[in-house]
Amino acid sequence: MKFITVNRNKRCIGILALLLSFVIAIQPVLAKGKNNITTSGVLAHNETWSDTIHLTGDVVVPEGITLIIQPGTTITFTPNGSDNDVKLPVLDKLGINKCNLLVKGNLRIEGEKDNKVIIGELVYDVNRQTTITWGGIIFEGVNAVSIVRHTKIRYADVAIVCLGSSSPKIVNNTIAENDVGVMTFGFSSPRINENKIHHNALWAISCYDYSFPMISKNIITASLVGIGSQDFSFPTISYNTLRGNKVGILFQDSSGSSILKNYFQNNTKRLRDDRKSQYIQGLWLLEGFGQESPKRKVYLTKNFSLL
Amino acid sequence: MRVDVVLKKSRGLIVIFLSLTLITAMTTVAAASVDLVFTYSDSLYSVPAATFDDGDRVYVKVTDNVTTGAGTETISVINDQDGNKISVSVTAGAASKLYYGSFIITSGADAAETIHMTNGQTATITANLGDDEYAGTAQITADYGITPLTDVIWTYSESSRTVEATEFRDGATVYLKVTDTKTKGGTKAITVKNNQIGNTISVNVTDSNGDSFYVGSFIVYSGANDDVNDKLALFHGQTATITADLAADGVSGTKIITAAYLASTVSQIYIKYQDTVLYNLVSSTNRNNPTVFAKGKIDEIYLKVNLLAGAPLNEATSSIVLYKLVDSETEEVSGSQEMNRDTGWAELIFNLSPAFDPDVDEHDRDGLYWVNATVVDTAGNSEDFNFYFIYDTTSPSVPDFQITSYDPTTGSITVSGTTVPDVSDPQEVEIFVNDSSKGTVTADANYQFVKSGIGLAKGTNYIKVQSMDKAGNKSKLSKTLKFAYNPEGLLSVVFRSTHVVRRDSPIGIIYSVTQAAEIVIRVYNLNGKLVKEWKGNASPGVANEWKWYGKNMYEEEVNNGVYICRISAKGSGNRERKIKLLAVLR
Repeated sequence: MKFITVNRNKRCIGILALLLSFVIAIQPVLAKGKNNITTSGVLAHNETWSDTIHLTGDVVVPEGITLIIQPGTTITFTPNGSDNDVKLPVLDKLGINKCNLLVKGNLRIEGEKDNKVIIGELVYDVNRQTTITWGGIIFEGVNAVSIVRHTKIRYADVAIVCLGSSSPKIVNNTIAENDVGVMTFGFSSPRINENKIHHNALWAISCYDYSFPMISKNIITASLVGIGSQDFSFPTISYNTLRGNKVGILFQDSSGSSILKNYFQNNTKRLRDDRKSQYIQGLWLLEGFGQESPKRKVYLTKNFSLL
Repeated sequence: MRVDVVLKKSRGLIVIFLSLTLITAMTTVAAASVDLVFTYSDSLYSVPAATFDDGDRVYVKVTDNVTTGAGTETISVINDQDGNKISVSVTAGAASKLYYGSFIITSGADAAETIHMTNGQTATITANLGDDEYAGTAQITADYGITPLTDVIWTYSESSRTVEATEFRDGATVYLKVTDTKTKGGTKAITVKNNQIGNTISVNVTDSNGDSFYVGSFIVYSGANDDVNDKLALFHGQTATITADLAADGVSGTKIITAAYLASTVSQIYIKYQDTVLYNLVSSTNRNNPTVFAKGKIDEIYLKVNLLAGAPLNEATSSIVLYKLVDSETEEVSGSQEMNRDTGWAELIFNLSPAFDPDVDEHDRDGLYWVNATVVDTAGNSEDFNFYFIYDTTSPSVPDFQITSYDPTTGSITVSGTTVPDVSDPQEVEIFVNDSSKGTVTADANYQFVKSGIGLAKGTNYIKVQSMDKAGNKSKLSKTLKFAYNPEGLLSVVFRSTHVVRRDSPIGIIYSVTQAAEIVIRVYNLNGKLVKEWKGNASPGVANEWKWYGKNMYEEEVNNGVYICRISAKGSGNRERKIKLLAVLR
């Protein structure tokens, strides 16, 4: 009896040892880093980042986990490389061999006005004679308490991607020198407020299928398109300043928008409507917008909804 | 009858006496042998002449009516002005007691049977055949057909010879221009003589333009005479006479210059701190271009002067002051003067109070400064000395920089940029790659700098720059620019211009490979759906271009929007791909 008990105990110890070995064995696959900072892989628990963090591959914040990034933190990425390519829900082909921050749980980037968080650094590829971009921050899932504030995000393919019911608050940031500033997809509803979004090579904000971003009080300058809406996206666009873009606001098929009191200046084309519906073009847009004038503030004086 | 006889006898005696007297007299004349010298211009000795041209031969016939024979006698010719003398042989001719010879007169140097004579000079030919006490002479004149010309001399204080001057400082170069309006070409020697001491130097002047104006220079100074280096010993207040006779025609021109040396000269002028010399201001005398850029702590301006006039320093009227120059205003810097004097020298010291101390001043002292010293001796001689320096304790701003070109054959880049204007410009920019200095480059007047040939290391390179102003203040290191350099990469891709398809303006994708490879270019929409695909082969070292006109597989125009472009290269044993966002906006 005693012998059996002893053996049982030994078995238990053996099983525990095996489990521990397994956990230890899989740990490097899940996450790489030191000092409890994950620089590539999946966060196993809540983490708080500060100082300088260099990511070597995709970092995943899984559901139920919160990543906090403190004021003054600088985050850099391995150029042209990723030691952990996870399959991304969108832009998958773009994200290969690049570092991304995929947020399924919560991300709180808590920069301060005088102590910003810096994400992305300029890396030049002399062979390609261009800058090397990192992927971007991808919000997926509800992550209702996620916030990105007082953060400077640069040199990404797409600085922030929101999809799958995500609704992060994106406020008081500088989003610049990316290919695209913010992209919204399927049922996401981020609050994009009071940001400076400038010098993004393609679109500053691009809204896609069934996304409902609230875009207000931003200064959007020097991009190919300031705000684009297409594929059943419904952004609310209000009190923004759109300056020096090729196209201030671009509507494409099957999109709608609520637009109120935006300020346009020196855009090559203030508004462009590529939608096929004559009803939409004729009824609302001509009433909603006055003539462009670089010397005089032109506000949208009529709130309207489309679709 | 007797009387007549007597008279006849007397007459006979008188006749005899007279005859004897005559014979005696004749005998006496013949024995005296006074030489007769005749000069001719032709070899036949038929055209008498007393004047001769430069290079002419002077034919001489000599006789003393006694000396005869077939031998050769020697006569002499001496220049009456210069005193040079030659000997000429005369040889007995066919006629008895006549000797013949010749010599040449020249404006050149003496030689055998050639005597130097300049135009207008005379020479005396002296013959004494038989070598008795009765020599004979003849005089000839050199007539070279030259009208004597007075030389004109100008003196200048600078080499361009535009500012005439007759007073010169110690060590100053006296620039000369001389002409007699006729003489041209070559180099002539003129003389400069100290009128008090008598020392002389010879100075060569050259007519390099063949325009009859000869130029040259010499130095007056208070050192020893140095004829070799054209330095005339001349002391303060003394005069020197420059004499020129370019044509050597005997009519020279003169010009007098005066040594007007400083009553005092600067021996030392330093910026010091706690008696340690930090900067030497001796050459920083141009307000608009000071050459001294100071920083750090300073507490003293030290000036030592040599008093040349022999009188000691007048401390009551001498001064040394430091000013800060702010725009067109001057602000006197607080401090005190201190003076020390001895025989022949004096010290003027300005003690800054409080001392300049960047730790305390917080850069308030930065600016352009002017040291003004007035040195007066007890004899009333006064000299003003002015020196300027920039005091700069502020670090320059970090310069902007970028990579402007890349040379794939050498794996090197060119960095260019702009410095931020600073009081101590131009700045020197140091370029670091991976914390290793790659050298410095000085910004130009437009604050631009360019440095090429900066080698890269394989992998990631971290490049930063730092500028240093002329005072030695360094900027902070710039932000690091990060570069990836992969010399062995299979695929190189460049997107021409912006990666946007516009109306009638495709995207140009330039690609090249390092080995033969199969190329596949695919364009996807954001949903991952393939929009366009192209396949081809590429040879190494060739730049290929593929253009996308924003059309799909069916050559239909795609919608405006963002697309993903993936370029893959598959070589033997390796594969590489590049992915980039593109856009269409017609």
